[in-house]
Amino acid sequence: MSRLSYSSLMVGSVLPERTFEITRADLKRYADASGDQNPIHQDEAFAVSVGLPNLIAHGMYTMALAGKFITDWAGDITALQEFGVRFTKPVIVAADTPAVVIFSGSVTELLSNNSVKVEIQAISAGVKVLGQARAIVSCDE
Amino acid sequence: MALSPEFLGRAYRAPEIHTVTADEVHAFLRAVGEPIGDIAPPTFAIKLALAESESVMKSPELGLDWNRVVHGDQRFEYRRAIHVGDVLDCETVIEAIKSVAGNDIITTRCDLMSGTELVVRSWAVLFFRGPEK
Repeated sequence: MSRLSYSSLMVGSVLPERTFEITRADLKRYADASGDQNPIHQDEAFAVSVGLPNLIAHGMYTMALAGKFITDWAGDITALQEFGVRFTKPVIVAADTPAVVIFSGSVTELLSNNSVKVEIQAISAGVKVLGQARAIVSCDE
Repeated sequence: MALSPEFLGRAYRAPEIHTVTADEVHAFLRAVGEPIGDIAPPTFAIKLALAESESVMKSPELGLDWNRVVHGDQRFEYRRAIHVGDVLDCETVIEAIKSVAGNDIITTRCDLMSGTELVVRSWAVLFFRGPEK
């Protein structure tokens, strides 16, 4: 895989916006793959019974998509040195229509060793679902 | 009941070493929409780290109710990517304990080690909601 070139980047360089759809089938697949079988991600009646508006996506699934957003941009699934997020609001996943998460971001700092810091935004149903979502990304020269 | 600060700094080693299988990496790649390969995506580490946090939090001495947990923050530091065939040991340390308005807020750090090599270090902030008033 060929990584993004460090010399092509500057502070303010943009990660082109991308949209991901999340269905309940995706959450089932993620639950099985991750081992997180919390029923708030699979059982609407249970989710509502504990005070949630509806079934919600695993925060870590949203983080996984955010990771894909960044590593696709970087051109290499192994490009991350650091990656952190705060789960500010849940992604709500209705039965019949997929939830939509829109990711955008930009380079906030040029670091040594051909790496950059990026900050990204994740919006679903008009609400910010991740906060302080930042990564340090390794690039080629 | 608030978690006692005596648990601060306590370390737990996973009882079993985990060998990363092709099946689990492929299932994770598929779930997050990546092409199939033998390198795990960055958040795969959570599969091992969160399972270990869960077993520590649910252990009789801590006795926290995992059904009341909300994941607040998550952070990873990567020394390298995880691959199929890696043999990983997991050590969990309780790095912070706070009690706010009847909720326990606990920061756990998890080190995934291959022998003496640190592969991924991660931190999770977990909110345990107190009983409803």
